[in-house]
Amino acid sequence: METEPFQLFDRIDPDDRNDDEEVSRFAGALDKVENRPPGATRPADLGERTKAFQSTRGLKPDGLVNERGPTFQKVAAELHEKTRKTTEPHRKLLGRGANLPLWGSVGRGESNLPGDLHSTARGLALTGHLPTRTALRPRDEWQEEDARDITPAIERLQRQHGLKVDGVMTPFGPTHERMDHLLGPRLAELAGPDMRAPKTPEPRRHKQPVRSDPFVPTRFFTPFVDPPDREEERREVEVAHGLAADIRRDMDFELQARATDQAAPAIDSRTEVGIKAEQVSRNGLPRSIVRDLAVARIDELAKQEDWSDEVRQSVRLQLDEHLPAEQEDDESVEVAAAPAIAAVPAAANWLWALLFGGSAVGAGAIAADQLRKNEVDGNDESASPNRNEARKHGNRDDNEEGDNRREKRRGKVASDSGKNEPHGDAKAIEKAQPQVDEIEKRIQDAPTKKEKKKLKVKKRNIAKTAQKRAKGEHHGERGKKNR
Amino acid sequence: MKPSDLMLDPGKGVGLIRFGDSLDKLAEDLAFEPVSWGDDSNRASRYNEELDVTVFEDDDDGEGIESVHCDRYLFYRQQNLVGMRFKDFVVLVGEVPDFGDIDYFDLDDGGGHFVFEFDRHGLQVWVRHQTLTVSTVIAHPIYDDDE
Repeated sequence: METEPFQLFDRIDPDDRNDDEEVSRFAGALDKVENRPPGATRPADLGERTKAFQSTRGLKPDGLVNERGPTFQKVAAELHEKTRKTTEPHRKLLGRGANLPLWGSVGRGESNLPGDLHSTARGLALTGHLPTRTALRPRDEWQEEDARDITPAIERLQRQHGLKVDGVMTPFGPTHERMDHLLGPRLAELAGPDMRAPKTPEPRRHKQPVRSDPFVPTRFFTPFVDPPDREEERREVEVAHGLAADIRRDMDFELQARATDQAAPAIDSRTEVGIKAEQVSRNGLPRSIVRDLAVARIDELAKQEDWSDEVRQSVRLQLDEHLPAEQEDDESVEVAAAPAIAAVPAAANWLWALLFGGSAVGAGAIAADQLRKNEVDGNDESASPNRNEARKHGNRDDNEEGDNRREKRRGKVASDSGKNEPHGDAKAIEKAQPQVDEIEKRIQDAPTKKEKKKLKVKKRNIAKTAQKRAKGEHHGERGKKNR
Repeated sequence: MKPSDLMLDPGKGVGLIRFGDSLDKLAEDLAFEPVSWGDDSNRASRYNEELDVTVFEDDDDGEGIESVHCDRYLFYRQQNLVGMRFKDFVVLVGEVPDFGDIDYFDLDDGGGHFVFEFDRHGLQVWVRHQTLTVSTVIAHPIYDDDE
């Protein structure tokens, strides 16, 4: 059931006469936004509560709420965020900034890509900061220099919403985030929640507000409203549908990217685990390992997601279909031979820990088992760093190790290095040296220039990280900044 | 230079940093300082502390900038790759890494790193705890297959 969008048909001025119905509607919305029980705000308190709302949101705290002004927009946006029942499909797909597709910065001296100018103009028209006529300019008519038409509107928006006034909108910056937030209710109202299928435009239902105390005492009732501007309304719907088209293009792009030839990991692990296993197998891992990992992963997922026996059975059948057990290690022995054998433990780790999203410790155990089998079969070769690593993972108790790792991450267990140590680990360079030496050797043996360059990049990164640690960088810090 | 300027242009560069350009030009135009990250790269690297980006020059062939190491920001398709979950990253780039290229290093900074090469995008990513974190995303030119 679609709820009626929050609208105002007249301004609310604490120092002037107001339409009672408008006042009660706005007070109700404010209560919802600020988590108060319905009816908590009486008309007499509305002015103060509005001012408090404005000052906490960076708006001008004057208590005035204009029909399409910043305070109304902020209340509507917050209400929209609170009351929408499901995530809109475009937001689910595109995430942050989904209501306003931006690929580069817009504003004075910025990249001002034509598509970005087009979308920004439409967004600004919907928030009332740019005339709709300007926003209706076709996409291919936008040029970089047209940013000058948009910059003042961005500045107006920034000024009204208490943001830094620089006339620039950067992807995922504060202005873009605010626009994305403010556009939510208006887009939902005019284009509907699903941008891939915008709803048919409907004429807006106008209401005639009547201020409780007429300006001029008269015996005759005087409606206090301008006749509705249908042309303006039509244009606005057109703008909203245009922005929906921009969002749709972004969604299509995103979907295409996801459906590229080699098919990225699936969203639903239940239906895709078999297919992924097949792909991985095709890429050169012995089938037995892939199958073991996939079976273990299915069991883990079944436990985690509480699958019924039927679901579990169907997933196993799917796996059997894509990766039959009978075909173990026939042609795959060939692909895993010689140099590829050395890569097996690492690849198995990768498969488990990353593609299937499980734990590297478990992967290590399986990889080590595989190694042991190889040793029994007389296939063991000189130990590579990867294989040693797999052994290291595999020969210890998984649970204990898992707990220990978690504790280490929290900084509760002392380790030979890490957050418990004073920062500026002078031994970091020394510790990294064997790995650097190992890579040096591999660089010398690398058959191609490409291989050499890739290894050189790895060597540099190890040296850089060690140097940073030696200089005393706090290694938990950057991760936090990024999130 | 702002974080959002660090946009990956596969095989060509990262924002204004273009592969093949000289480091001196970079230091002149953008706020990059010479840095020492190890004995062999003293001459051939520049660092921007604010963005946590290190740029390395090809010190063998003198072919200009060879790799850009982004430790905090690298934007691709409007998303910062650093800090992204590996699974999301693979979805975003739509490329499966080469199995032969997977490496594992314990940098002693809180966990082992898996290193993956995404040749079509000219990316080397360092993954720890399934997340592209610290020193993770390295852009380099897209190399020719055989030499």
